[in-house]
Amino acid sequence: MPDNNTVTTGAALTLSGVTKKFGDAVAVHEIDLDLMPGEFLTMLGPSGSGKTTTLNMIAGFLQPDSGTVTLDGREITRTPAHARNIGVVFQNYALFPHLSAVRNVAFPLEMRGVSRKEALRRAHGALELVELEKCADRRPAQLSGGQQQRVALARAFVFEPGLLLMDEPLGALDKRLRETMQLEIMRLCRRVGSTVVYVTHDQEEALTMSDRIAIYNEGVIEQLGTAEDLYERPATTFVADFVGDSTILKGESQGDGTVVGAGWTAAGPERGATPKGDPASVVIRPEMVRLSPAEDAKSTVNQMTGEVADVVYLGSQVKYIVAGDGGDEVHAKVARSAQWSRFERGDRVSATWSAEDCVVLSS
Amino acid sequence: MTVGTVPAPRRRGLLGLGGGGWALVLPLVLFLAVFFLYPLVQMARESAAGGFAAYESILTSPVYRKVFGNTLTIAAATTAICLVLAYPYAYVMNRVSPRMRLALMAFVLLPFWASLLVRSFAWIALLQDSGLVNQALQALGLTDDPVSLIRTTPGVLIGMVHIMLPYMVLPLYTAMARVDDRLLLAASSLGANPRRRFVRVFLPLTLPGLAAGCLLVFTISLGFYITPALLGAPSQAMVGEVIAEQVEQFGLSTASALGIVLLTGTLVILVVIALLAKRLGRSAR
Amino acid sequence: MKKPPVRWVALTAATVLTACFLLLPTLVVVPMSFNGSSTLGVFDGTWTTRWYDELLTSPAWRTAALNSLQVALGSTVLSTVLGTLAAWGLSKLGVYGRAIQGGSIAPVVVPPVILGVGLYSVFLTWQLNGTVLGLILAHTVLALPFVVIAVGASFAQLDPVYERAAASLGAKPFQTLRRVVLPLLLPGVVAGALFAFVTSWDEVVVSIFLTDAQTRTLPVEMWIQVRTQVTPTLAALGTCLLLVSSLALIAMQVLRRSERDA
Repeated sequence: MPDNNTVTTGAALTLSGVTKKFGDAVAVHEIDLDLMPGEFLTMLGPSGSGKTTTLNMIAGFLQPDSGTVTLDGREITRTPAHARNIGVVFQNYALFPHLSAVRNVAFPLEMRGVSRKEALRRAHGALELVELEKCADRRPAQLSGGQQQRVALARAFVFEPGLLLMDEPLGALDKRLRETMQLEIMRLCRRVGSTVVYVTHDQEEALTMSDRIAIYNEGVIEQLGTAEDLYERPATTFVADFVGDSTILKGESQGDGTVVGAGWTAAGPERGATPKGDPASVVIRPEMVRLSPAEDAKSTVNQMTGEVADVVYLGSQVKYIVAGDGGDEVHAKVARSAQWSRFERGDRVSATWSAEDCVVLSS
Repeated sequence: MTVGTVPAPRRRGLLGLGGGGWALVLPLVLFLAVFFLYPLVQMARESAAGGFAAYESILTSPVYRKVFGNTLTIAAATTAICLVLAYPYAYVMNRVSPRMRLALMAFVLLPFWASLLVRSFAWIALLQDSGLVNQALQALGLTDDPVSLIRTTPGVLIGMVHIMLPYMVLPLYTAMARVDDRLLLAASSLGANPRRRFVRVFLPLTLPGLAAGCLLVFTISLGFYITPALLGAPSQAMVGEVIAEQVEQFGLSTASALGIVLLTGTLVILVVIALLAKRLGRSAR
Repeated sequence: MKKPPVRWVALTAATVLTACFLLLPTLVVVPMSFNGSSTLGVFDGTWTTRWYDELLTSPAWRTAALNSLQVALGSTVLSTVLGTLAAWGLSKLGVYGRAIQGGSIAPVVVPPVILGVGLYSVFLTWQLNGTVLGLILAHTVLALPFVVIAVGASFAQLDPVYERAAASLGAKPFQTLRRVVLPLLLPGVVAGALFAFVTSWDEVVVSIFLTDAQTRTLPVEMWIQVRTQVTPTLAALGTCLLLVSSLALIAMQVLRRSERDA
């Protein structure tokens, strides 16, 4: 099957200043995005944060009120959806219920004037690629959720679009199948070479799959970066809270990257300077926190003394919730190993972290 | 793929595209106005052609009072019998295997689709003095002389219940299918015995379907004509029969007035019961 | 079984009896139609197809059957067209649409005797009594609610996401309409048409008022015969009608299944 091996060159996508209002409510506010050809970008955020609206404007289902959408250097802001040549995988697949799997996949080819015979041949090829050749003649209702998902994928890439949009494509599947499909989607996308914009509200999915992630909140992108950027260098407390597990301590900035809170002092790299006396937050990842008996406490900076309030067993790790003496709480995840010391509820402990493992944010 | 000024894509889908909705509905509205509403209005005018004499005679005559009494009694009895037969039937339909359910559903739907006249004369053949029912009764030794079933009120009730039963079974079945089985398990786990579980949980949850079924059966029964004319006693006539008779023998005036009374009565009952059900539903919530 | 069996025995018995009650009177016309005795419903042990011969050779039945067919087809076409257009329009009109939909269902609530008298009265002036056209118009009024409900349900289920999907796959609006939207609506339209056909085919009451000797439909002819003398020929006709209804019912079930699988 020669056409299965042709690698599409991904398209470059640019959004600039894209804004969409529904009545008075601003759904998306001045979004700027730049995608490299072949890049896998995930839009991550809570529901109603504007990620699906953005996707719909890229696909052409919605018109932005202002701003432009550019695909491979040509502006498509007002181009109707059917003339955009963008593949879309819908949330509940939107497979045509009256057509068999293979006819669903052949549909976009027939729309492009490919003869029925040739369209079916290529559709069978695409189904082979998603390992569904044997179900080609079944109707969508006769396929399982995972199989429908694969047909939807095949249908979206069979016409070799430069850009693939996926709107929570795995939302309807159970956890185990979702993990398998994540890998499969990544494999397929790499194989066809398209640029991908992927929408999800599942942060693990975003971290696993993406080259870059755009964190949406209330219609704006809070931060755009790689998984590592977002996890280790969150730009806002929203990002820190949304991506991964974190402890966020609120205190008062000393103006030099030091924050003082109730019974603790923290110092670390600052994201944007916070004037002295303003409120500031410290973000600490629980796996970076070390616990020791309270009497061993040495330093006073990046340290909190308190009592173990809860112990949560997580399998390979144990999570301690430490209630600090000043009233703040800090979480610590400790890996179980041959020589780890275990604490019990009520033990007096000292929680410490190093300066490079915490981030100071203004808030 | 050319880029240029193209009209904005539609938001509400191709067929849901705004505008044009009224134009599509208009033919139907006009048609019903001319061939449905206008005839009813015309009938109201006809009934009042000689002042309100027609209404006066209807309201004061003991003959018509008896007719309306009969109509209400027969409709109420039909509703009650239908409910008694349909409730267990719908309940069993919900508890059996899918294959069996399909069969039970087909038993309900087949008569529903079969001609009303065919069913009515089948009943004549079955219920007549020399018919199968009387033969069976005599063979069983329950009676020596044939029991008159045709041209009696029980005869009408048998025929009408047979015709109206599907209208009761279907809403009840739907209402019961909607009851979440876990609620019944919950009731059991909370200590309800089967009888209380039924009375306190299942019955209240199926009440909307029950109300809908009764309303449907009762109001449709009020207007019956064919079945009582074929199976009923002439002395126990229902309004529908009298209206048809009036048209044949005396012209439109009294028939129209009777029709308006029947129509108004039906609508009032519909509205009152619908409002009651709404209030009941709200207070239940 | 933990449940006390007594209750289930009672329930099963009630269900079986009700099922018999529902089914037997409908099915009994079949043996009646082959019964040799000339009194309907009195079996003397002989069997014959004589009643079918009589049915097929009688000019009165043939005229009635032709009338019925014309009226049923005419009102099916008219009500399906009007009802489908309206259902399409109603799907766009939101709240107003729901009000009009409620109004269009009104003919179900009005007793047919009343509609018969009213139509008879206006058809007197319009000279439509005793015409096939008059019957078609009257039956269309009665069939419209069923069409509006059946087709309306298909419009309500038509998820706009399919149109988006088609557009994203490169289908122009007209292609979307022809390849995606219409095929999805078709089962509802066919169901509506079937309902309309059966409604007209079985309609007696309104037709009694509007027909004359030349335009009697099958049910009206039956009604007149039943009132004069109940003959086994009626059972033969009843069997034929039952066959038609059963076929319509089966068609409906097949349609529903294909829609669900689809």
